Parts: sequence; C-alpha cells; structure tokens
Amino acid sequence: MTESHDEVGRDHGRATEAKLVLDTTAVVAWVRGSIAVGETLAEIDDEGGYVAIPLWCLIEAGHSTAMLDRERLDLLLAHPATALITDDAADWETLVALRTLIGRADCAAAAMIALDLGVDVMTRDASWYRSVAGGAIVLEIED
Amino acid sequence: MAQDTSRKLSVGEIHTRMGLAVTDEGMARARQRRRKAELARDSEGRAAFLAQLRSRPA
Repeated sequence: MTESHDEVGRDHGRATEAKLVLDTTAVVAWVRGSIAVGETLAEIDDEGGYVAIPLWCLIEAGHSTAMLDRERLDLLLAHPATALITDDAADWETLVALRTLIGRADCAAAAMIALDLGVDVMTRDASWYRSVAGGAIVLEIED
Repeated sequence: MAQDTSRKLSVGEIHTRMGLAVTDEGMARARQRRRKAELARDSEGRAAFLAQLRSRPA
C-alpha cells in the first residue's frame, strides 16, 4: 500500500502501529537477503505492527540495485508488515531542512517519517543521521 | 495520496521465496534489540528537534 503518514495504521482490517522505518540501505540489505532485516520484519509482523518504507528509499534502492532483483522488491512490498509511505506535501519545508542536514533526500524522507511516527530508522549506515536529533534515531543492521 | 492495491503474502511464503531462514531465536534477538532502542529513545528530545525544524523560517 502507498499511504501518507496520516493514513497508515491499518492493514488487512487490523489496527496496526508503526514500529520502524527502513531506509535505502535497509531495503538494499533486504534485496541482498539480509537475515537481520527478515527477522526484524517477521517479529514486527508477529507483534501486529508495521514497518514504513519511504517511497524515495524504495526508488533509490531500486536504482542502486539496477532493478536486477525486482522480485525481491515486490516481495518486500507484499510483506504483511510493510507499508509504502509517501511524503506529506505539508512537510516540504521540514524536508528541505532535513535534506540540508543529512545531505540526501531519501534519508531525509526516512528521518521525517521516523520523527513523525516516533520510531527509529533501520539502516546499514548510521552516520547519515548523525545530525538528526543527536543521531539517536537509528537501529543499525547487524547481520 | 494514492492507495496501492498490491497483494500481501504470508510471511512464510515470503521467506520461502526469498530463501530466508528466519528462526524464533533470530526473531527474539531482533525483538530484544528493538526493545533496547525503544527504552533508550528520547521522545521529548525528538519532539523538540522536530518542532524546531518546523518552526524554521522558509
């Protein structure tokens, strides 16, 4: 599903709560078969929650993997614990500020959604988020 | 915002198609790591950071 921040929180008729955001590096890790990402998604599904995937992170992951593993991206979106999230247009100025701090639009989108939903960003590279809320918004992938 | 209509699959089917060997022990470890991060989270600090970003002039 593709939803704005305000529309998430429901899936298959069940009330769900955001637990995590996957950034581009986490989506790429999934594509490459990361067991850590798979385990995290499975336990969040077990808990009845969901993981937000910012649209820009999906786009960048598709680009950086040259869409060679398209089926794996489709499987990520087909996972019952994932929701594809678009930016809220009203947040554009805040996204500009985050883009300036971080240096990447995709990571800015991930940080924005994480701050908005009160969850962490799962990432392979925590250094991108050093300047966001003291850098304490990440859950690093440990394979 | 657009609503995607993509079909959701079961977790088991996804693991099979991905070739992922997810175990209960692995899921427990993942849960523990997330819990630890949740406990360490500074929600007020984050809210203040976000409020500061939102109050910046364009």
